Amino acid sequence: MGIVEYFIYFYGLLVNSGPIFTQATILTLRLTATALLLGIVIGLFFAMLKISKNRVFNCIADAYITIIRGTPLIVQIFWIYFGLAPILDIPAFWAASLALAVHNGAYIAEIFRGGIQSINRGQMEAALSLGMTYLLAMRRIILPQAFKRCIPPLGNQFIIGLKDSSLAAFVTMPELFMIAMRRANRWPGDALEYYTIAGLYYLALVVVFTFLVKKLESRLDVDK
Amino acid sequence: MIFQKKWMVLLLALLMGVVLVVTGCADDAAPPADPGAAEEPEVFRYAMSGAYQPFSYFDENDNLVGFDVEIGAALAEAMGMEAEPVPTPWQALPMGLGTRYEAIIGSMTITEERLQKFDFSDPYYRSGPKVFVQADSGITSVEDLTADSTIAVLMESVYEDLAAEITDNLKFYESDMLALRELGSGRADAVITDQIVGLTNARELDLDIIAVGDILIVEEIGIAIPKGNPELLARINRALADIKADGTYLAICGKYVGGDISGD
Amino acid sequence: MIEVRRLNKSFGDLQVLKDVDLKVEKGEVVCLIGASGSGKSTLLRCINFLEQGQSGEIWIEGRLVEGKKDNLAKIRQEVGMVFQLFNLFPHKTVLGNVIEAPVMVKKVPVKQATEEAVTLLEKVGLADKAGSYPSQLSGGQKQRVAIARALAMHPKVMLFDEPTSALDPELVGEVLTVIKQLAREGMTMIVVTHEMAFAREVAEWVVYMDEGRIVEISKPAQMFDEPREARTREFLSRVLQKTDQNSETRSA
Repeated sequence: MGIVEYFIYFYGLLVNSGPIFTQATILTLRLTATALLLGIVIGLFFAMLKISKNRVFNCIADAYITIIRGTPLIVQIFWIYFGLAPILDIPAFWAASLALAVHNGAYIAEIFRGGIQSINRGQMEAALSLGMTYLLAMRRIILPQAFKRCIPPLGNQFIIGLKDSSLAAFVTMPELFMIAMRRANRWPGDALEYYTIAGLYYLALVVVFTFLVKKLESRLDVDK
Repeated sequence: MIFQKKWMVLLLALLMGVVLVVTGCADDAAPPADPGAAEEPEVFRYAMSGAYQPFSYFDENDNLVGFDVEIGAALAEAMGMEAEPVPTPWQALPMGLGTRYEAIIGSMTITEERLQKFDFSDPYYRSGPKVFVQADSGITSVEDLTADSTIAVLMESVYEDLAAEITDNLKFYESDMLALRELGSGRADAVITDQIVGLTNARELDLDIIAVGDILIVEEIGIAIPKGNPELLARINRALADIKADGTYLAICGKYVGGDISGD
Repeated sequence: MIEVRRLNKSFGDLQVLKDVDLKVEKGEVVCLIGASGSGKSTLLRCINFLEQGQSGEIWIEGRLVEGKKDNLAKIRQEVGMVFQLFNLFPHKTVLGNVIEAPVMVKKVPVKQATEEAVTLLEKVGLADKAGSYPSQLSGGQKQRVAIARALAMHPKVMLFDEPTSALDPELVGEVLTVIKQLAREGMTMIVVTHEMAFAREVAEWVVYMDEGRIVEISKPAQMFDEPREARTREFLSRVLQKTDQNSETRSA
């Protein structure tokens, strides 16, 4: 097969598998979005524990971050899918999303902590001196500024999260990578082609997402 | 310090929020079975790898099909239950047994080792491994293989032990199909795999490979269920007898393998 | 109005305040002077509990404030503070900075808070900057916004922590003018400052601190013309000499 024929052949595979991969893309996006939204809540929560002056809270946050960053994502997915989820009767989609959220949450917590600590102490002091409570000052003064600084690393984490969602394939989620695996198993002669196609879908998603983050960044910068 | 009480409130609120999100959405996705008002049939969840033609695989439209899948569906129907196949990677199959699914109908050979961990139904088909080699290799029997030969096998399978008796040069693959492809392209001297699987794949992948010699050992393939559930075991065995008696079993054999593989 | 009794404060091994006693009556302006590290800023920060002393008492309007038990947010509403580095909220406009606390803390309706804010901004001469962001302002303008922001909470006392130290010399005047005007209106104020001429002009009392202790409390005339303590005299001769030199270079 010459290069042109191969390209036409590959293009044929790409087009024929289009509808199924499109469906899988939607699932990948649902998984990623759910995981990251939940991950932001988890991350914010543990960032607060981490910067709190309470030793016990610090320890809880440290333990969580250490365990999650120190163990492979696939192990965490198995813990939740095979261990926790059956006990709580959580369906597969939510087990996978929760595992991804718990995983991303640890990294997002560190991003938020860095963002919050990068805000000058004087901001908190000024807010407190005006009679604001700690939490009100956090919400109105510190977090809005910190969040803006967190956007670039968060965008980066989101891209990692999007690609990590492929591991949900190992707990039965028919997302992009799973579809590639199934097709590769069914037609081993085209295995590499199908994995490449899945890769192209991820690449397209990442490019679009990167563009959106850049836009958001520049818009927020103008405001300030 | 004044902050700390506030922190506790925040902590509780956030925890509750997360729990609400998770459980709330869980309810949407899967309404909990209410045993009191259960007019709906019980669900029979059974697992297989989904990467083992012709027993379980995904077709052109990404539908899960295959011998194991349809046997499971037929058994569920015979038991008056609703069938729900759960494709799960081969290595992870034992982990979900009893929690994510009630049974493994995944072409799992009944072995002493596995009997320690699960209970098995009566065999739902019988098969056996054969040695596959390249058609032009000159190898005509198992005896032609030496300790220098490279044998490709599915990882964590019973074929691994058979191959290890012949040579130390083992290559492990995620699926039989990958192993057979390696053989077809000459990167292995032989593959030991189920003869049904080998022949189906050789035809499907257009590989120039042949089976040599006899079946090495007769394997009995059973349905694995968690230990200590005699009611379920009996129910499955009765259903298996039923679908064999009413012709359903033979029809499924014909559709996927081309002949009766019950070995009865 | 405000009374500090035997206040002690350490950061680790370093004791920065040693048995400090200070009393400020309603309507008085008290200026704290002293070398850097003498503890005057820490004393100010202890009064509105941004720092808490290891021992000692802070009384505000005849009430003992207990840092561990009392609602500090409530108490801080009565005690305005202006910082050396302004600490304006950079993500909010000038107007947003001024109405933030009244709206969020005192629940003043936005419309009413805005009207009051505009009045305050007029008072500090910045009504035309209401829609600007802090990054668009000069240092002097920032500090005047910070003063308006503190005043918006109608504090009973204002604390100024070196309000002009971070400013270019030509911008010091506009900020001091605003503070002087407040003094004329009878605002109770404690001002940490290096501007001796300013202290002499507005202060009822001048407090000289050194190494965490209050060395001398005198009326400005006595403090600057015939200080009682040798250490005060030494400090003043050092800084006044420097100021003279500065003004000479400036006029040259």
